[in-house]
Amino acid sequence: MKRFFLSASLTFCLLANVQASPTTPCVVNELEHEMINAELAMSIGQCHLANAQKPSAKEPDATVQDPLATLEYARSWFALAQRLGANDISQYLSRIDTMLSAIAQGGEQ
Amino acid sequence: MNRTQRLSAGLLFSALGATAGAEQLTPLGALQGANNDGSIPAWEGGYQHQPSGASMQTSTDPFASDTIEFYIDKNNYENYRAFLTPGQIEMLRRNPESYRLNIYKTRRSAALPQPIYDMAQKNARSARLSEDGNGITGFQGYYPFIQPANGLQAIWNHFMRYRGGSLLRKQTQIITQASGDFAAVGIEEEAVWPENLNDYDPVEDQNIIFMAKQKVTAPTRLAGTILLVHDTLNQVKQPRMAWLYNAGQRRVRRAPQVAYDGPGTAADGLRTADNVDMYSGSPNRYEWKLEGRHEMYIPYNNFKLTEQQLNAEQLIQTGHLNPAYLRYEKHRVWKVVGTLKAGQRHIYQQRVFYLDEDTWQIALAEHYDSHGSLWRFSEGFAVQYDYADTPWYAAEAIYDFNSSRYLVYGLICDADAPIKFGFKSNKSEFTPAALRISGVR
Repeated sequence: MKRFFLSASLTFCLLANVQASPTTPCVVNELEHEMINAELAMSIGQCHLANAQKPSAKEPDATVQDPLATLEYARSWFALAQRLGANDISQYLSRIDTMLSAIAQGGEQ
Repeated sequence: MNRTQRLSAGLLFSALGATAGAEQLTPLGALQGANNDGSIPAWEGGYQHQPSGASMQTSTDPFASDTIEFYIDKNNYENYRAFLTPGQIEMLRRNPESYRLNIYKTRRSAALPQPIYDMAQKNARSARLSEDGNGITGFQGYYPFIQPANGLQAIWNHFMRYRGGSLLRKQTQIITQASGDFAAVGIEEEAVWPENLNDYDPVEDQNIIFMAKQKVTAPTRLAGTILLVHDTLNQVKQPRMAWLYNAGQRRVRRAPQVAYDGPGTAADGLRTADNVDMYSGSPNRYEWKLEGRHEMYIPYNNFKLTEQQLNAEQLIQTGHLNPAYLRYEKHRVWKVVGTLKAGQRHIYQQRVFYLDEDTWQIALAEHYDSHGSLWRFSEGFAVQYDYADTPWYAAEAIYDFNSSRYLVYGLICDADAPIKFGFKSNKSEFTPAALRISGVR
């Protein structure tokens, strides 16, 4: 039981950190590889996806605001979550792929 | 050291048997001879420091009288496709009216101090990748694998190349929008390698490649932010250590995001942390493949970019840098392809690097997205800083083909002082406490 609480509180702290990076709204490389589980990866992916869907809030020193970059961050985290065993990831991945395709078509010259 | 001595060093290396077939090699493992049609000449020691020269701290363009031999543009690039990368072709395709490559006579100007050559040749016999490939053993100094057996070894040569032993530069980073509007960020950078750190501890610091500081000096709203990095050799065993001083908060915080695909400082999302110096950090997230030596047109001897009278208004154009200030030459490069490993994460699914055979410095790079589309293309504008016998960049550019924006990094033309190399420093200058003290806005 004690172990469960420790694990739960650790997960809570990490999830709180998902939106606590000093330079970006979502986690990018702040966590050690061994600490990342499927749920955490999925949460981080959702954070990036939500960020990609925000209207372009141009902070002068914001470091990630390119829509393609934000979606690629989201995609990379969802793909990792899938590899770590998370369920229901395919809906996110296909949604992101649709958005990426739209961006690619818009970017064609 | 004179030209004959340098050639002797290369020939000695061949005589020891570490050669590629019957070819003579330079001290860094490049093919010493000319190519078949003579468009790439033999290496004859490079453009080295002349002790009797007028200045010890500035480079003058030794090839200023060279004229453009021909140029590659939208009309003729198909004729040169075999010597161009997909990124270069995309640049020509997207900017048909304004972009071209000015091709000059090839000058194999790369030259390094003799002790660096000596170490590289010793390393060729003793250096080994660690079992997981994330570190190196049995090497000294620089260039562990001048006869690379695989792509990972070639990439390590880029990471572990000589950059003067220490360097201090004032540089400008410019972010250019699709409209051509641009904004400049002033940055002061200092990096010191172990041999120039006075209190370097060979045991405690054995995993340190270099220590570096990067301070944003302009514009005012960004000024005062300082990044401190201790770059480590084996970043899986001991991750790169980074701290950020936030001028607004007057606090130093650990900055683990300054690695891999973490967003670059004040870069508007246009580069990742590992895009700096064309590619830096740890190679452990990719599978690397060495795809041989190729003849390509790459940026080289870009002395015009170091001229103090050049300014951003002259250089920045919509979609690309002003070709009038850029010089391309045909050189042999190693092509290395990195593909994201299963179970690893990065916003670039694949990367292709082209490493100059004379310096092991990445000259061109392509970064692909998760759909396999070419997303970003980087160019490293090489210069031989003869006053320090150091080949390095005069600037780097990264073009984003999706947003049609681009970023130039490391421009020194507008700086009020040339790059300083080879000075001594103290490890105590590269601590979080020192960061806090120096962080006065």
